[in-house]
Amino acid sequence: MIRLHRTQGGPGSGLLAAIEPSPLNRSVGGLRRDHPEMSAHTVLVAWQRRVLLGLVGLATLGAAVAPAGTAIALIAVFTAAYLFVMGYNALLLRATLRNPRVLCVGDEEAFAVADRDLPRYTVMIAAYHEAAVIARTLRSVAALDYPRDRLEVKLLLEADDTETIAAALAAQPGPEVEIVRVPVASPRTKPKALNYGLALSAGELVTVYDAEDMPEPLQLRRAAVALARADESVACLQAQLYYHNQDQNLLTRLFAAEYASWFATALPAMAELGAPLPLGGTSMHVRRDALERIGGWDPHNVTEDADLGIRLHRMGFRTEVLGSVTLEEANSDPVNWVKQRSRWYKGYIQTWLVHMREPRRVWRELGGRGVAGLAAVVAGTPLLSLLNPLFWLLTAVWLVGGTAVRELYPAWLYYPAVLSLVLGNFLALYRIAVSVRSSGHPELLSAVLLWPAYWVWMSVAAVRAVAQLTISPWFWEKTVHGLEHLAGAG
Amino acid sequence: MQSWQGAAARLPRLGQRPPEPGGAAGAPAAEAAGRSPHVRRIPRFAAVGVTGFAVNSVLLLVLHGLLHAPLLPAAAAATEAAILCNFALNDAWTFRDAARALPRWRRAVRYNGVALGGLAISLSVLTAITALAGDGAYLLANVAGVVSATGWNCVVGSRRAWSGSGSTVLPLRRLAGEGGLVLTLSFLLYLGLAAWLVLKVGLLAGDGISRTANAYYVLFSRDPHLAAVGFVWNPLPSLVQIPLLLFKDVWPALATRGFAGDIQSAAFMAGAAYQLNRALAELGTRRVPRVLITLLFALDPMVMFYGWDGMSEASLLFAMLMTARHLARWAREGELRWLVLSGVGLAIGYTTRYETAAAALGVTLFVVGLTLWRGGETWRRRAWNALADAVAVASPFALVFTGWAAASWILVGAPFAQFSSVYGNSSQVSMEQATHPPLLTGAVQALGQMEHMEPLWLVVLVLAAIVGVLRRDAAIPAIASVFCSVLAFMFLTRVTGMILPWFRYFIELVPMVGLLLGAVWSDPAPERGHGGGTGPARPRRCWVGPLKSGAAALTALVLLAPALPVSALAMANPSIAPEEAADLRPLYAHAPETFRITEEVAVARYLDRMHLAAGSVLLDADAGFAIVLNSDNPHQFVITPDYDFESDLADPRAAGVRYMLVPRRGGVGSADALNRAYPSLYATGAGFATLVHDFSDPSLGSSDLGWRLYRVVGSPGS
Repeated sequence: MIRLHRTQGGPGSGLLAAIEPSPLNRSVGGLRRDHPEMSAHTVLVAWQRRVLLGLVGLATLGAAVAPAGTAIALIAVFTAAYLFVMGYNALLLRATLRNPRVLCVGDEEAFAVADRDLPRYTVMIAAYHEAAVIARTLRSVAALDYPRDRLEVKLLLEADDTETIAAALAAQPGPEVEIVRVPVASPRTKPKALNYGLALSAGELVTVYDAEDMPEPLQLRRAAVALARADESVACLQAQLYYHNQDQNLLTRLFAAEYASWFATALPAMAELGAPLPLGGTSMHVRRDALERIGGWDPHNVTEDADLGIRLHRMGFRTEVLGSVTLEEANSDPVNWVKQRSRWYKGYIQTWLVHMREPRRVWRELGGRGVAGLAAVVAGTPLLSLLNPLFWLLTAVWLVGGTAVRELYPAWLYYPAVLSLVLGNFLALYRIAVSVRSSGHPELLSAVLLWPAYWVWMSVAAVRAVAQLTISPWFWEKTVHGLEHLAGAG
Repeated sequence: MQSWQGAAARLPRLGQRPPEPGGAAGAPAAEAAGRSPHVRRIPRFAAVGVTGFAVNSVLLLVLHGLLHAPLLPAAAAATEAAILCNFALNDAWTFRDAARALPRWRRAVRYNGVALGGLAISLSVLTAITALAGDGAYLLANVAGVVSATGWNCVVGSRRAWSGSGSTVLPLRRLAGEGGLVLTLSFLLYLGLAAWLVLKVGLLAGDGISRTANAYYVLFSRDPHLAAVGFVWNPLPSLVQIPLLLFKDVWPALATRGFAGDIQSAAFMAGAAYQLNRALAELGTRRVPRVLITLLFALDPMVMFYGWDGMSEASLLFAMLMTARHLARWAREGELRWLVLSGVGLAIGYTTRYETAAAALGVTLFVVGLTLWRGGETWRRRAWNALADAVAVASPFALVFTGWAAASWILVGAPFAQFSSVYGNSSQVSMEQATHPPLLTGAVQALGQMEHMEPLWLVVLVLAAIVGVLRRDAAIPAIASVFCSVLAFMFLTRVTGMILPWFRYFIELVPMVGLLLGAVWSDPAPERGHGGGTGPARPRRCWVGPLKSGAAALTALVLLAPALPVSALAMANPSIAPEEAADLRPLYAHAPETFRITEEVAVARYLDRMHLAAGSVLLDADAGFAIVLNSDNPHQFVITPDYDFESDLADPRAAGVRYMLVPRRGGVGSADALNRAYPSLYATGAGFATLVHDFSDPSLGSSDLGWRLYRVVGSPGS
């Protein structure tokens, strides 16, 4: 009777139950102890710090000795980065169009499995100060079509968040729901709570939802069938996230177009290209054995979701995209949007630095295509957002006829830079336009026109992210909007 | 437990690719199993070897024996051609049943890699024997070289390229083989034609060689920069020649005879034949009519002519066929990827010719119409989908259109130099055609040319329209939307006298009738998204297929074949095909009317002997491109693409210019910048220059531009 593939033995498996005396200790320090090289507790390891300082020193020295030459060299390096990301974008577009890799399980197939044959499922919901929405959350959980005797729901609430606990109790959840009071301990992050919940649960499959999520009712069944059918190396499925409030304002439309492009086309294309998938924070369905083997979530990483996808891939587990949608609430307030986005960017930089600690090992584990995907998406996204304002400025000065800018672009740099300017921007926008069409939301095209404004906002977030990373790397900035909840969409 | 696993087992395992959609139409069933593949392979491999040897020897004979190309490069080119030919044949025929772990291009690369080892062996043997026995023994030496290379290929090559761990046989393999053969053979055909006509007979196409010159300035002028490629003519035919021109020292004819342009047009025309062949395969046209239609296209005299002559017709046909191919597929299958590829075709088209704008308009309207017709439940949804589809297909074109106009505006101050420049189309029209004929006469002439291009085009169009309506096959209007909009645009501009009355402007008729006829005889797959899906195939009697093939082939022969003799004859008739008739004249008459560059070569030789410093000679490259191409010292010229041309023209002496080259006024010479700046320069020296040499050669007829070399002795106006 083989239902789900399991990885036998290996370091870390079964550790939770056997060795660990306290789930809390483990949820905070487990990864740091078992895989210190993968924990974001330290932002930079020694050699990275030396290289970074060395580069900064070199640039400063260069600026003092030969300012023009240094500027040209820097622009050349950055232009190369832009061209690299542009090339990856082109590959993503091609993969999107050729072979969108989304695993689909039809309704009939989902129901074809008898209830008793389904695996035990753990649904974890981490919430903090969510008294207002917790009742709705529990209704969404109740709507999930999965046999109750094979489902356990862990509602992870901070022990001192009495309001939410009271609201949850008042909602009178079904018997499958357990309210877990996570002991107060630093860092107060979602991944810590998830690790705690993981230690207390037993389902063969594990998934996470955010407080305001509305998963499609058949999602668990589809995920179970798809995972059973997929080959052994597939340990995780990411369901597609979308927003229910896309028409609220311009920002939510832009955000919705971005999500449509990310979950409906970019992630499937990355799966096709063999890159590790930076997971979304909710609706990813993971085999418990894989999750335990890699040591759970990193409580010190503020995008523990993206990091989890990459660690899974490094340990030999692949992630695929599941054709099932979870509706979320898009961040509709620009200030909160920037806060959320800067946390994501901070986390992406953290994640990339963590996974670049041992470049040769990562190359071995992910392969060239994986490392390229990691660099283009996880490092490229925040880095280019950070650089964009500088190059917009240069372009503007060049267009009004500034001769100083011309000096910075000798012929060998000028043509690639123009290519990047014209084709890079076009490809980025074209990919989004094609994505909203192929994901069935063509009405979002109007948002694509305003995308450059969205880029400006992303740059603000990127600057903020870098500032925060140097000041408080693990600080989890809670996304606040109408409803307070943990972690927003991420 | 049982049921769950059962349900899981019934479906294909996830994580595996679905089979390639479409494309398999027309693929014949797999060969009956049971026979040992090697029984067939050995004679086939031998036969392919013989073919490769023949290709190699014939090419070497042509290149070295007839055209006197240097022995080593000639032998290398001949061997590489034989390698590619062998690969295509082996892949499609000898090893068609072999396991293929690698994609086709990687097999080709591997085969080539091993074969290059063979080439090294072959060349060493060749060099050794000719060194010992003298250059006269080159054919014999070549035999020895090829035999040793074949031995190596036989032992190493086939094993590396075709065996592998995977055991899946690609279902599209034979089709891919057919496309590869079409590409290779037609490229060799056009290239061979170019080699014969340009290098042996001595034909030159002026427009073609000026495109080569545009690429040449980018690399070798006194002021090398990419914008020197110019903004009057769209850049693609020139841009792709830039890498080829890097080898002009190895083989000067690439530049001096414009042969880089001929390679360019041969490659694009072969690509056009390939696109046509693949389009027919994807439409589901059976093999016999498909091959026949491909052949009738590739061997059409106009297609062959523009395959060799270095102009932009080949790249235009390539782009339009690419657009039509994918648009037809989108029209049937509704997948966005085909729409995007179709849009890329339009973008490529605009980098080569302006009339693509008409195709872009036609295609966008078609796409909007079709999506509104079938694209969703509510009208609101249909409208958004139509808009999104229009964006997908038109925005690559829009990018190229605006990018080209913006670059032109920034660099030469005019967004559409083709129309505003004195060197552009509008200026040419007014120069060559003082009064254009009345509308009706123009229309009759244009229709006459269309009849000579493709006598039965209207029959094919009407037939396709009827079949399209009866069968509700959207592929047919898709094809028509591409070609008809270009043709309508050419017809209207022609009738209103905005373009010159060239025969070649109607060349789009040739691919259009081929594609439409293929679509008429195709077996359309059931459309997706209409509750269709792939239903069970209707049982057919075994004679239906061959009968249908035969009928399709017969129709193709009856409707398309007449174009070959008719347009061949038209090309000799100056009243129908003025350009082609003039260019081809030397083939059947000794005629001074042909375009020649002997005068320009003489000018270049004369100047080269003077060993002038950089920037000594002022020259408008529009008329004088062949002088620059044939000079060993291109830096001596200050030419129109140079940033300092205007200021040097205003005061040549102050700028250090010592000589000025001017063509006779009138015709091409009236647009010459020097003649325009100093109207009396050609006749008298305009008061600041003295005549050094007059290169006029009346025996050249219209090719005599009457070049004169003036020495600058003062400043204008002084």
